[in-house]
Amino acid sequence: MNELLNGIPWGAFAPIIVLQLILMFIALVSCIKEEKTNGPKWLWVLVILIIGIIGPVLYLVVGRRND
Amino acid sequence: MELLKASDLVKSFGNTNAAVKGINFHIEEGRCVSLLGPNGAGKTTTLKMLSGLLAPTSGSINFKGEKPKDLRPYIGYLPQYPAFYNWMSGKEFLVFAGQLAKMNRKEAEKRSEELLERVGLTNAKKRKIGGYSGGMKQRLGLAQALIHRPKLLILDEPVSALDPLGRREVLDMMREIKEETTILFSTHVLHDAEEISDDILIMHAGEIAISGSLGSVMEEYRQPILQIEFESPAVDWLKSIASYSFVSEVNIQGNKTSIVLKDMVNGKQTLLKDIVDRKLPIRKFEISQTTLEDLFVKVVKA
Amino acid sequence: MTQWTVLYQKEITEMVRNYKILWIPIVFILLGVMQPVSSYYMPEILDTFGGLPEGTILEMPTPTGAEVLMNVLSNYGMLGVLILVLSAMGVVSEERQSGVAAMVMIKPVSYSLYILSKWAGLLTITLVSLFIGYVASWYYTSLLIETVAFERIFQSVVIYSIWLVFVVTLTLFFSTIMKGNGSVAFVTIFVIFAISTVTSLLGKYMKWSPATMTEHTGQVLLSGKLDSSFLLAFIITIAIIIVVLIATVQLFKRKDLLE
Repeated sequence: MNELLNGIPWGAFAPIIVLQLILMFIALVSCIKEEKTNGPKWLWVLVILIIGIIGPVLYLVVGRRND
Repeated sequence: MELLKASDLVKSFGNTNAAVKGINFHIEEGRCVSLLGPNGAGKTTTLKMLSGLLAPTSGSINFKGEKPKDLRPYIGYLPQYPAFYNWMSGKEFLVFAGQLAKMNRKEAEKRSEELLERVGLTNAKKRKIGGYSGGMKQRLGLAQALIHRPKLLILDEPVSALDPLGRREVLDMMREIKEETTILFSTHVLHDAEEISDDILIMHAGEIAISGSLGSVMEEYRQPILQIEFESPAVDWLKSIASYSFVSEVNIQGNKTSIVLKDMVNGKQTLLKDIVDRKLPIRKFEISQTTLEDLFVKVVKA
Repeated sequence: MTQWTVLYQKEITEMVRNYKILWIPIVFILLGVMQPVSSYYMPEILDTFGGLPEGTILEMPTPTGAEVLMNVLSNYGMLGVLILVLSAMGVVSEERQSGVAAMVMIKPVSYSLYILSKWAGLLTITLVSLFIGYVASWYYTSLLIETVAFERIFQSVVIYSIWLVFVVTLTLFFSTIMKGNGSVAFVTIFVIFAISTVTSLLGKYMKWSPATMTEHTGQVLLSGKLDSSFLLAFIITIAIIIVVLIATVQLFKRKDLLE
């Protein structure tokens, strides 16, 4: 396992992971601040946290009630 | 001085019956004019045409004797359901509206502060509009309509969606505003019209049925009314009095009756005598005059 | 400040407040970066996690830099377009539905100014996302695979952006004439899909189609040369964009903004 972790080129992956985390963070903040979401809020929080990149994007595109 | 004059204004949507069927009226500068009428009479359509938001099918609107291409610079408009960018704060929206009305930023900011104070939103000016109550939104709507110091303020049902408290606030504000700006507002609440307007226009089915100053209209259409309340219904007698020459109308509602008279002096004596002779049990015998509401009902039912 | 700046600034502020100005570029960067990374590490990933039987020889040539970038643009063409359309679908329709469009138009604002400010706002977010994402992708590609000449990158992104401008203009058009976000997005995506499909099926007769921009982009990337039919397609695409914009303004004028 250690060998596997060492094998990962962190230089290349780190920025990707950071961007993903930012994306997740934006979606979470927006979801929590929003008074009402399309569908239950707790479900969206789970979706954002669990489904990699797609979760946050899905929330930002269809979960938000724009006003 | 004449501020605005509408001539043969028509608006039809598609092939259906015209919503506004060639109306003529004018608004004097400095007056507060109410546009009355039942729902569907064409009030909103008329106001939208006057505000420049809707092009008339035919007819013309003169403003101060001229025919401007765009009426919008002269008019402040508050729609029946004002909407805002909910992500903006109250002040941001006012500054935005002011700048759209071609004010520079400084001017718009100064005027916004002034108006926020005036409509009592100073404390809420930094809050998001999304969190405002209905009454607050209505007041913010009033402020955005006034932002560019319009010559004519048009308000579409400004108080009908508000609770009694909010209604009082907005009416009081309108009373203040009418000191400096000409106001045209629509309503179906006659009491509001009676309370603050100088002139009235009554619309029905796309046409103007009655227009004039509140005083003169009331004077012209005023008729004496006798209101009698019985302890038990006296239908037979009420039917018989219709034959008197001084009685023009009898309306019976349960134990209460209102009788429109042509000749009050003669009428009340004869009727009172009748009541005494027949020993009719009455609870109340009152002499009054037709109200705006009676007039309105008459116009709409005609 | 002119009305134009006020309206445009409002569009930008709105995108800042709802984080669009952040998350759309981030998604484009991620889409752009994943491609070179996965191309480069694919053999290793398969080797480690694929559980292939010992001794299997992987016939997987590493793609060239230009090929990787072409794949990136084709991702933008699918997911990127989907995200752009979905995030722009309410641009006018929502304001019409809420009634706030009427609150703007009650002030002496011209109808074309309103539409153009929306268009400029959409172009800003679209082009910023595309450029940032593509540059990130180029950087990763040259880091992991090989460097593609900057000239080709520049040309290809400019040509590709014409296609995205076309897509966004269509979204604005449907958002103006229709109500309901879902239907706006559905119709826009359907039309874009139809144009792309017809163009690739009837290539011979569709040399003028805006959808050929994606093909021209690929060609510039691979060969550095532009096909002679590019000029025709370019002129037609710009013309269609202008006509659609004019139609949008005209149809917007006729809408009853307070229903």
